[in-house]
Amino acid sequence: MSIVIRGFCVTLLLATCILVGTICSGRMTPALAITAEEMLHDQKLESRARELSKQLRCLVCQNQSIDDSDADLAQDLRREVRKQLMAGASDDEIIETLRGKYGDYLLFNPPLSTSTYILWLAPFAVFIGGASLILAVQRTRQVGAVTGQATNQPHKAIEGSGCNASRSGFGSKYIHFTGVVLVLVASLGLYLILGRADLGDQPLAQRQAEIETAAKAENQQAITLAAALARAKQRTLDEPTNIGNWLKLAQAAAMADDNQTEIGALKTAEEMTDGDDTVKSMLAEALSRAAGGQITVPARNLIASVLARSPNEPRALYLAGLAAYQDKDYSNALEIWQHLQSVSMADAPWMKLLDQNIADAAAAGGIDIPNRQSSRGPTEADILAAREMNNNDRYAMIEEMVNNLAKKMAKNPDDVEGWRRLGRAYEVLGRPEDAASALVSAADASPLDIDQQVTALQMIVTAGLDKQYITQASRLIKRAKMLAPDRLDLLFLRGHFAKLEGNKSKAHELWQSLLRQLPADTPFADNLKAAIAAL
Amino acid sequence: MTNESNKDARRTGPKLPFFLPMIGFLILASFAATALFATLSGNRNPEQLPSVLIGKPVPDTPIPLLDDGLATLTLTDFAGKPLLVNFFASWCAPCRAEAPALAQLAKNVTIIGIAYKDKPADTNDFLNQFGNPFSAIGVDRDGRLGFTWGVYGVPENYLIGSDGTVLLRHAGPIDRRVLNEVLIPAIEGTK
Repeated sequence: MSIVIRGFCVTLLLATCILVGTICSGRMTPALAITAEEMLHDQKLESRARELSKQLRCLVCQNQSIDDSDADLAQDLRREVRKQLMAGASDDEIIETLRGKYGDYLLFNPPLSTSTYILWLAPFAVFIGGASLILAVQRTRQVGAVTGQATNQPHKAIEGSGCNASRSGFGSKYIHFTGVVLVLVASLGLYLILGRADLGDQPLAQRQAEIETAAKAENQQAITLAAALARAKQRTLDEPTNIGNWLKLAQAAAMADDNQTEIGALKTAEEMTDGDDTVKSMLAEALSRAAGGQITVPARNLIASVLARSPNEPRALYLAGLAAYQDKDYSNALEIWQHLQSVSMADAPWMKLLDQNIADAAAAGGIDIPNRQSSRGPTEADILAAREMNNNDRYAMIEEMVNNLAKKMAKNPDDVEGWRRLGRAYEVLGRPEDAASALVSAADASPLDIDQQVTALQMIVTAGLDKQYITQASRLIKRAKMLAPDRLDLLFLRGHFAKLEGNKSKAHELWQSLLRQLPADTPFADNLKAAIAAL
Repeated sequence: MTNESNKDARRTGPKLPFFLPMIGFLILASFAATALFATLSGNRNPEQLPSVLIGKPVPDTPIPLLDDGLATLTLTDFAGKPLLVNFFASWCAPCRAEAPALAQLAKNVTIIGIAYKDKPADTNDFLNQFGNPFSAIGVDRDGRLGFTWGVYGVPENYLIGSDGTVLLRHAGPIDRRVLNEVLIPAIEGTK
């Protein structure tokens, strides 16, 4: 084989050793990769999100894609991708938006530009250079060998013993050629498999195993659900008069995504219970789920008949709100959902979803949410329980709860929800001063939440603490005024505090403007008139 | 050529063509080694990514202020003098490290701090402990603003020229070298 080829092989071997050594000496601690926690329900969108995430580099851990990285930034970017997918953006649009913020470096497949010419073209330049070098040296050697053979026999003998490259004839030439081609193909192949500029990241083996385990678990779950469904079906056959069996069948079918069985079971249960409101609502929900979330006409009829009889049925209320939302009647949706919020227990499982929906409806309809009565706080459920006890026990229980909460709040003064609960608890305990102080803290912790400011101000006024709390009140009013200058309850409060500060003309002006916006002949309007007159 | 001279040639070992590929490899490897040593000695930082904002006007998003959740701050309002915008957080260790450098820079340039994904109470603790070199402090609770700017990790510093264009980004803490060789000359250049 030619001396150049031999040199090439030795170099390749050395380079490989160096490469392997470098990789092994570098710390290769595999991070514990987690799956994307913010998966979308829509399978198609989710798989698009995963595909997109694989093409985007995490700028913190720069050799991982955002799909594979645990970094905070990767998580943010995954969320951003999904948010835009939900908003209907195309893959290219999403990539362009992100590239507009973070630049080409974000892309695992960078476009060809002046800054990436070297990246894309250098390997080919090196390849062509190397190939031509081999071929050139090869040619000179062969010419030299042929010349040597013709002029000087001994020379040939020596060369032949040390270097088989000089053995002439068709066979050796063929070996040379194959050797050269092999080296060239191997280097090109190595580049295309491991070195290409548009290559994605190499997810950790551990990560792949995790994905497989998750897939297996999901499979297993499907089998379990199917088995549960079969058992539930059997029970309805064994004992068809037991309504509970039919409801359980509906539940098992819902878990296993078998809408038809669920609907059938609920219809049977509805007939057996002679139109029970809860069952009817569940049926309406199942019908809507089968229609891909659209509240269908039969579902609407069911909801209407339920609400006509029991206007506070939570499931029917929720669906009625959703129906209004789907009709783009946002104010109606808002009203229904807010009603549901007011009749629900604070710790009802749907409250969080409901808050989200209310916010969505308000945003979609461009409606401010005035006077959202926050009748929430886990104390509600606890207070109900406390009503069952005797007075002393009840007081002690609430007292202890409140003290624990107060201690927790001292450590974590940013927790708006906690302050709110504390304020409400103090109110129940008949400690208005503490309640006002807690609500002021809640307002301070959420300076952008107008409701919080107003609630605290109302507490200050109703507790008769307006003189002690004048500085806090003026702070809250300043914030609230900027957030919602025209809010009616705020106009009243502003007037009240203007009066306290001795600014009677301002109080007069504020209350007058409030009075103009109020329906006449209400007791409140009368009271306000009297108050204005008293100024 | 005689037998003698051929033997001599063989005794001296392989000839130049044998080394040609190796020389080629060494040239390539020397590039890589230069980059590696530059990185190790701190003169080159592969984590420093170019910012898309360079040469563009500073984003005019209103930023809520730390002391008062209602009032906002708009960076375009500061046109007419150079500005240093510093994204920081109380949970970020390098931000503590660069506190002295910022204190020194505050003598030369107006610095606007932006508390990135940080609780206001923690931010205040941080400022009490490590000093407050900022002329104003904005709040980016959820990282939305950071997304607009292309922030990929705190601390990040952006130098804005007096005409309101972004001149420079430095990702990572300001150390002595960055302070003296990058930021101070750049700030002087804007004057």
